[in-house]
Amino acid sequence: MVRSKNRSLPALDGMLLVVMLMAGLAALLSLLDTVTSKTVADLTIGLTDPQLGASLPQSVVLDGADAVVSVRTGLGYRLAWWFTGPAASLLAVAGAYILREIVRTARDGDPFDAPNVRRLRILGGLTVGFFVLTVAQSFVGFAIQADLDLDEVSATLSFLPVVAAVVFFALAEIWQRGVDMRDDQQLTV
Amino acid sequence: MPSSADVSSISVHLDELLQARGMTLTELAERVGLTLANASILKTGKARAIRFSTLAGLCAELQCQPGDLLSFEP
Repeated sequence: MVRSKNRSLPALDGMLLVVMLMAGLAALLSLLDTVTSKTVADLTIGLTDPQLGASLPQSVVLDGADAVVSVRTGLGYRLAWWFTGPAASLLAVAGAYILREIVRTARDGDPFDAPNVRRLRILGGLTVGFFVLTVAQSFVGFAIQADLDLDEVSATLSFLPVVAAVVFFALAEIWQRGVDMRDDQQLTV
Repeated sequence: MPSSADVSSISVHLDELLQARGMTLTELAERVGLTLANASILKTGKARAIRFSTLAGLCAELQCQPGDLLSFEP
């Protein structure tokens, strides 16, 4: 196969490498912070009543008037929060690595092969895994809030990862069609 | 597009014809203008399609009809 002359592919490969490194570093730094600090950051609670801030327990630290709070909680809850939240960055590392492999096959001339179909399905699975982690983090948040006797209980859930997963699975099937068409073309004498 | 099962129903009788004409696969490939790889794909039954130009070239060099070269076995 002739190597592709598309200059965007090496640049894309480089960008994915940066994403891998940054996501991996973010996951590790957040783990360090989780273990060494006593607070769980970014446990977002939307306070509808500004006066409620005055009645929050001392373990809750307001960051701003009524939006983000940090809570002091035990190591178990903090590790659960890290595992279901910042650790999801490790899924991004895996996803970026897999995307780099796909980009490399395109750069080397033949992206339409069975391994790339498998890689796209894995990306769909990783995205589903990311969504599952966000749901799990909501429940960890609820548990922390219940532990602190907080009346305000809320969670933010995005279904964008579900949409992304469907896109990856659809792309995998379309890619499989490309593989079949490539095989037909190559096996035509 | 035909399924793999449909494609495998077509048999290529290249071995018999080459033997009858006393020709090697390499010689046939050169005369018809096929790569040896493609000729081998055809001979081993892995081909999924054949161009009319290729079929005409094979029949001309092997002095046969398409029905001598290809057969359908359901």
